[in-house]
Amino acid sequence: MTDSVLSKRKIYLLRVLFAVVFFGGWYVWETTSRFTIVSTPDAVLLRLIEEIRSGELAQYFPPTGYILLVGAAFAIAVGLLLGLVMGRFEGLNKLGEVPVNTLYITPNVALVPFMLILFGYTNTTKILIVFLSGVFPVILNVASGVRAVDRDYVELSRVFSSKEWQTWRDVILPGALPLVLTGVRIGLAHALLGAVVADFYAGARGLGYLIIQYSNQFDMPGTIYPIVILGAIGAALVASIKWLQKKVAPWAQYT
Amino acid sequence: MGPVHVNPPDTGSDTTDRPAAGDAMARPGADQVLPRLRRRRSRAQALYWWLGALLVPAIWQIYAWFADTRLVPGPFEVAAAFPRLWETGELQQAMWESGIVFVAGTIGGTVVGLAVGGLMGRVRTLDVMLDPYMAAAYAVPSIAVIPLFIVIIGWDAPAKAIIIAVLVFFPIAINAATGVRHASRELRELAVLYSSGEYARWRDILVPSALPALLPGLRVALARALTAVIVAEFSTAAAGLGYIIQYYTFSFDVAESLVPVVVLGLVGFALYRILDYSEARLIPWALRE
Repeated sequence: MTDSVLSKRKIYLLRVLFAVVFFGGWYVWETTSRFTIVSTPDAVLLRLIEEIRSGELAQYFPPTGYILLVGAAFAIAVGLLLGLVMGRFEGLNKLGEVPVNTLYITPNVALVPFMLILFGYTNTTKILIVFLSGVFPVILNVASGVRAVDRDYVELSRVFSSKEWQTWRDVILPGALPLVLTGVRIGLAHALLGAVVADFYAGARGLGYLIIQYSNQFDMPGTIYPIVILGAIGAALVASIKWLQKKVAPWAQYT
Repeated sequence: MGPVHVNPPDTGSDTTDRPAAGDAMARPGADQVLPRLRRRRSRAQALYWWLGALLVPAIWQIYAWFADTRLVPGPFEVAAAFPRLWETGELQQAMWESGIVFVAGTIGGTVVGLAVGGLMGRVRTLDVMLDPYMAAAYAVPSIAVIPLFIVIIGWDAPAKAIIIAVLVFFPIAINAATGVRHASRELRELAVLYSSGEYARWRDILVPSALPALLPGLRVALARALTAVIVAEFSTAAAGLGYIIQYYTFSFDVAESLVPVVVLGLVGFALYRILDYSEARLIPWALRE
């Protein structure tokens, strides 16, 4: 159908064209329209540079980075463990089906006020929020990765009287690797979401708090620049896991 | 000639909708060869499934026994608080306020997302142009933009629905584009050979090919939408389930504050069942691996 081959040059031009139209349109709208609520893109950029210089970023980034790191590490560790055993053992998979699927789709942010009562405005609350956001997508993807491993290979290794751990090492883990890493990637993205929620409601620190504070003051460049940074963190996390996937499991197809 | 009909029809009903990958019952003839084994297995699986459904309430109850009862009410205390909120009508009102925002936003975002994603999958020029920007926008943690949107477009119900729609748009559009893009080359060339019209191509090839990518996208979109509804209600503190949760938490009526949380959990359960059921009905070939 429309599988016309586009040259690299043309693709590049198209993308630049879109950026010019988008940011140009935004700029023109803001400078000419009467509804100028959002600030211009250059103001956001200038604000970003200014806050890097002023040290505001250096003050508000580390708390978010810390809860993200600790919470995501717990989420990935627990998610890998539960996902692997759920994927391998049919009974455990059935046992986990309802709670994992339900908790994945249920907004755990609804529990934040309750967690604040239990643990207060502490890092414990924040890390718990990040953990709960990240753990369920990891479990789901890791379990389906293990289940997607070709049954015939598992049976083959049984026929050659492999021990359980040998089957894991030679068949299940390599076979599940692509989807396991997909799980880690989605888990990290959700953990970042959790970190923002945690900053919003559980203590006056971090990038999320900056967003809340500046939006309450109707300071638009101030509200947008932490969002840009969070987007850059998200993109960097996703890109690095995708790079890792191509490195360690180049045979698999990624969408 | 849709690939839907190429696949074997569903063999027998399982206790759950989703057949296990590589499971004995997924293979032709296994029903006849191993009827007794199959029945015993499916009965054990049903038991595990129900045990799993009771797992979270059970852990909660056990935790409540050991924790400070004033701060951590158990499932029964929360159930007792339910009629108190129901009789005053505030729970129904909040469910209506949250529900209308959730439903309107999700439908709006899904419709626009399907349109844009479908076009991107079909028109290569559009695809290469927008793809990096869609990916970048999707990488931004969705919750972070909610305060910004509230300042720009306000915090009444239509504004909240627009916020939900924007957040739902990205996973739907990206997954729809992926699905359409990955429609098998042979089938698409076949459509050219038979000089199929645009409508026939979509009906027979592109839509069935896109569904396996699209339905997981819908799962992500619904989870994002529910979270966004609650965050928007926390931020504006004026209406909906999020408001009730906040109101009763800050007056330390913990049991009352957990009633909307349980309602949300039940909604999550229902959505997961509906999604699993639709996947089993719409894309059985993709689940069977």
